[in-house]
Amino acid sequence: MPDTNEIISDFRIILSDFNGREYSGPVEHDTLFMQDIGFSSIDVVILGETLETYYKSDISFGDFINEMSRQNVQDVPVGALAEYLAKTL
Amino acid sequence: MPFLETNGCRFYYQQKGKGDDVVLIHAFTSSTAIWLFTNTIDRLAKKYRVTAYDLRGHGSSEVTPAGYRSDEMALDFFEINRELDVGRCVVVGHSFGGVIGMHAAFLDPDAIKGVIFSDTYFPGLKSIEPNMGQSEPWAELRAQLHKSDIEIGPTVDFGKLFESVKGMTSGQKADLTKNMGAMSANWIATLGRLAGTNAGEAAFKESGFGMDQIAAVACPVLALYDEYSPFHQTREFLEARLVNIKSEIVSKAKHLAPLQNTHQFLKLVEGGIAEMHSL
Repeated sequence: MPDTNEIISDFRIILSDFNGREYSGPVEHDTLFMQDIGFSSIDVVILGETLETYYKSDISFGDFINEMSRQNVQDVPVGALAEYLAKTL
Repeated sequence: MPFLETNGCRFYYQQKGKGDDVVLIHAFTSSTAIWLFTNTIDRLAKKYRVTAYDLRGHGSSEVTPAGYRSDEMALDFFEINRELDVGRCVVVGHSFGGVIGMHAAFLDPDAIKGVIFSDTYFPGLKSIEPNMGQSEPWAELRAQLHKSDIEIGPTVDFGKLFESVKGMTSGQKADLTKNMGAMSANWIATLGRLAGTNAGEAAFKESGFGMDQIAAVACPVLALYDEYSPFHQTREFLEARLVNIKSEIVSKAKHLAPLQNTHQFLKLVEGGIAEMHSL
């Protein structure tokens, strides 16, 4: 099972060629997918699918996003997603 | 990523779960993301086979120059269902998604067990909603965009909106992010994809689905209208004219009930689907 730092490294690989775009900016614990990386909401949908394919696992991404929304978090922090995956995978 | 090509367009879709079929149709200018952000797909997929797709020109589906009238999008719905072997289903539509679901139920009653829609304005009922063009959600969007020097005019004109945001500068985008948050700003930026299409006009055409056709939909209908909806005259018309309708008010919501009151929205949707599939 990957730890949080390994998952953030995986994010860098995934984002280097993601949904027709190449992202090479910083991807750190406090990076925000929408504000910093420029994700639209549909990119978040694609990210969920991409992660399930990458880790070959049902990650219940909707539960994570819904929890973020429930807490009124208006963006997706890289660190929070990595921590969630570290617990889930 | 799952895509299918049909009816002259490449559609992005998701399908999850097993059981009776439920099809989710998002609103005009929205995407399947609304079902993710409200956990609707995962929650319904515990009991049903849930299919959701991005309408043409939306989300990850292909942008086509035309094909955005409700009758054309109802045809997309039928073709996607055929490609994915979706059987007789309950349709859940948000806003314009409800127009598509109801139009489909009118065109092929055998394909649909019931329709649940959320805060839907019907172009065919324009005569009873004469103030739609000055609706409050549009006024709020206009005010927000105005702060970033993006002008979309006082009355609803999506074609103008698409053209305006297509030419948005990086400075305006940064302003929007500051004023509205990254999620809303990035959503608005994506709408520029629809510039040059006829979507802004076509989605607001009656398209053969006028007052009499709407009133002729005979399948069970659950009409959800938001507490602060601009479309309560539509709700009153539907309650008076449809033979098989129930309606509910979603509290504390203004056109975006799935996001603004997810708990009540999902509870009503789950109850409606269970009742329609039990018939």
